[in-house]
Amino acid sequence: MILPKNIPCANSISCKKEPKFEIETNATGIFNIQPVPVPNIMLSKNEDTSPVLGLKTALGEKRIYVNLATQTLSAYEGSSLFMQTPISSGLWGKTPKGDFIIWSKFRATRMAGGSGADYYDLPNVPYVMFFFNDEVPGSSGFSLHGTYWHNNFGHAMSHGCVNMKTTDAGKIYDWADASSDGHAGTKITIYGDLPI
Amino acid sequence: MKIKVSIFILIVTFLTFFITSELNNKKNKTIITSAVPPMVTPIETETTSLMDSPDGAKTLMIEKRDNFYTIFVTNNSNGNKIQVFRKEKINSSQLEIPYNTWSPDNLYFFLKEKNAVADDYLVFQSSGESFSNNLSNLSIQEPFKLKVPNYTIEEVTGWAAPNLLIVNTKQNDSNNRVSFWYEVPSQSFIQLGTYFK
Repeated sequence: MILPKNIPCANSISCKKEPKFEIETNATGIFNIQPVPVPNIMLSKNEDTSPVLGLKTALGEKRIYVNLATQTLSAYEGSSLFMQTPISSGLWGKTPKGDFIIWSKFRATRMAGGSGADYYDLPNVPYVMFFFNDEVPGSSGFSLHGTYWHNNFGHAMSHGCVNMKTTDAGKIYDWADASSDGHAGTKITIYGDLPI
Repeated sequence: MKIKVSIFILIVTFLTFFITSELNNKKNKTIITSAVPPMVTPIETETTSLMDSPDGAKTLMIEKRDNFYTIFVTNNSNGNKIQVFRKEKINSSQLEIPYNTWSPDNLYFFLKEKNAVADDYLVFQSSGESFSNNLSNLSIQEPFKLKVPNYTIEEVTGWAAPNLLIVNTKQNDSNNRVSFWYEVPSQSFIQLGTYFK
């Protein structure tokens, strides 16, 4: 995979491969040099694990805004607020700013990267929504997703992705649309700067 | 003659109304200026705070009733609710549930105790069991002062890992800000190179 020179991959190890739906049972992850118990993913019978096209609602266009300064995500349908919640953006790697579109959604996948004390390997990352624009390809691995390895929302804590509580990520995952033939996915705007 | 009688009746009616009204006012004034203060019956107050774990599996609840805080944990899969702790409210201190209260594996939670002098942070096991040294909860402020006297805790923000709380501090004689991990099993502080903004 070839990325623009100024766009590092969000997960330096796992994004060498094409993103895919991937779950493991009774696995152990690594984060902050600590072993992390990995929750098993129990798929319900009618749960679709492939990228799907959702529907716009009668309330209007779906939009997601991520404010890096306040570390919050706000999701709207037209002018109606669907959700507002604390997130964790990039601390060890920068979260890209700009306007993006959700490229694909996966119920779960594996993310790994870093090296030394910064090494992490996290199977079963839940409710992953990869996003892209002209400068940041979807294959670079930047996404919104659920988080089971830390609970420090409202503070930067990721390698570039937007971490959310798993319950919040699940709601956004079910609500937001991935891109598919002829249809653009839900728009995401990421703006603001982390406090110094 | 009829007119004179009518005027007389009107005057008598007016005077009667005026005198009665004045007497009532005096009675009211007497009640208001009474030397005995009115009795106030204390009202029992109750407030409840809740926070779900990030995976939605458990809910932490603090119930404040009269002068006591009672802490409960509910297992949301079966509705089982256990009392984890009960604590008397002291003076102006207030017990709060931080947004990031739950450890990622739901084995621990921490609370913020707001005090006039310095806020404290208390760590509990969600099972309600005591820690190995028989303490029902671990206070962070006092051991930090003893072990790291050159820094002051500004905030405990959340969990970096299942066992690691993030403690943001400021150096006492400068504006340097440093993060520590508080490792719950060993009850020790680890200074970090990264500051968790």
